[in-house]
Amino acid sequence: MKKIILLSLFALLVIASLVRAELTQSQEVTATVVHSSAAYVYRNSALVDNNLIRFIETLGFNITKISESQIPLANLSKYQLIVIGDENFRKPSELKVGNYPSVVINHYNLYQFGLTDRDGGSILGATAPLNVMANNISVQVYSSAFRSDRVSANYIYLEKSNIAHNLQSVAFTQPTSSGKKFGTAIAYASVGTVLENGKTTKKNICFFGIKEAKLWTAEAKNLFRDCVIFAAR
Amino acid sequence: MKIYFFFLFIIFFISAVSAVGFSPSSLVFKLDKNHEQCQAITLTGVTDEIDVINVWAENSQAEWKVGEFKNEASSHGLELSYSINDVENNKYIDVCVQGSKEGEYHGAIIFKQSQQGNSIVQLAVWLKVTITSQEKTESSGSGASSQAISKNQQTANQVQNKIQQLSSSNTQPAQENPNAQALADSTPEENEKTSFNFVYFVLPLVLIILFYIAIKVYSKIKYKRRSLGYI
Repeated sequence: MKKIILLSLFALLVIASLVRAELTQSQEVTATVVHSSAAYVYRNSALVDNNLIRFIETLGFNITKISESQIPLANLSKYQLIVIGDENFRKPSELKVGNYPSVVINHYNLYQFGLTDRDGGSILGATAPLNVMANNISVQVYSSAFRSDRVSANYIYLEKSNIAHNLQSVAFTQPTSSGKKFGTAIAYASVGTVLENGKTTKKNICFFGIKEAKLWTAEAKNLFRDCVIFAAR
Repeated sequence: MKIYFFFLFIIFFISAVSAVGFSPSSLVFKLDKNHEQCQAITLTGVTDEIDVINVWAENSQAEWKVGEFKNEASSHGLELSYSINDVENNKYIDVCVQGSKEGEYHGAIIFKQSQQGNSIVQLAVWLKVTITSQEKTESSGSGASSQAISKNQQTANQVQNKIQQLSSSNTQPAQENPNAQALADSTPEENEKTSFNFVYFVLPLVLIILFYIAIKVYSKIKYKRRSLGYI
């Protein structure tokens, strides 16, 4: 009887320590802002990235989807975070990126948002899963080279010659024949940054080019979490 | 009234000829093992996001048919990367290739526009990659020129490299819809020449002629109406 009690106690201890380890690990990714609200701005409901939304929810945000047409009536200032999806918005200036804490995952309207010059953003893809250079370390950001079937997964980057001068580059493109750090895959603009469109940011902006949330590796998730924390700070 | 239709026709014609195009039609890479080389492709009149697909023939003897290309780059030890830059209505694409196995490989890089209504436009550029232990480089005349190619494009002479523009009226991928493929055989040099002729010479000339005809017709009608006492 004693043996059984001791064995079950030991088993309980093992299980408890395992659960604790699992919780600590998941907290590394998820524990950020609890019970905050975020708005996901889209133009076409068919193009809403639900994988991205689900991940933002795991970071502690309640997401409200707002279509571009609702923007004039929506009170964006009540959200702790605005997420701009990768769509070609009709009136990008109405989104007023820079007035609200924003995460921009978009390559169509970067010029209007003031994050690049007129040439806008660029796209990088490959037949191998893509990497970025973060803190001078190559980090794999996608688990696969392909988005679907044989369509390659790519990410957006801001080319050295096009990026707004005052942005802070956090992660660079993977080295290719074009050179090292020829583009920025993740960039921050702090409050008070003068953007390429002449506007000064009132809130933080994070540009996050690694747009295929479905394929994010754990490292990419961490980079996105940091991006959200910066924007919502 | 007729004159308005005529102008409408011209407007329609202009929009039709300035539709989607690409240059060059083929890229030839001759490179040393594990050495990367990049070449450029220009897509004109493409503003939407494009999906990029690359497909490869099983061996170099296989027919130049996209539908027959079922292999992935990795199966031949090839690594392909690309970067896309948008400038106005054009996309400038840098395609970089490197390989770890000696041999000749045939493939295609397909640029697929997002679905618009019932149709999808796919553009394919042939890729011929020769990996040797000796370092040789050859450009297929890419990057310097842009080309506007309409759906049923001209066929030139040589066969070494082929051009393919795919435009299908349904959602089927081009590989499954060979009838929708418009094939033209031409060498890269010829493609460059053609693009120069078409964009810089033929197109403006056609537009000038059309404009001249339109003015002539308009003034003739005006004269006729005046002589009949309508004006």
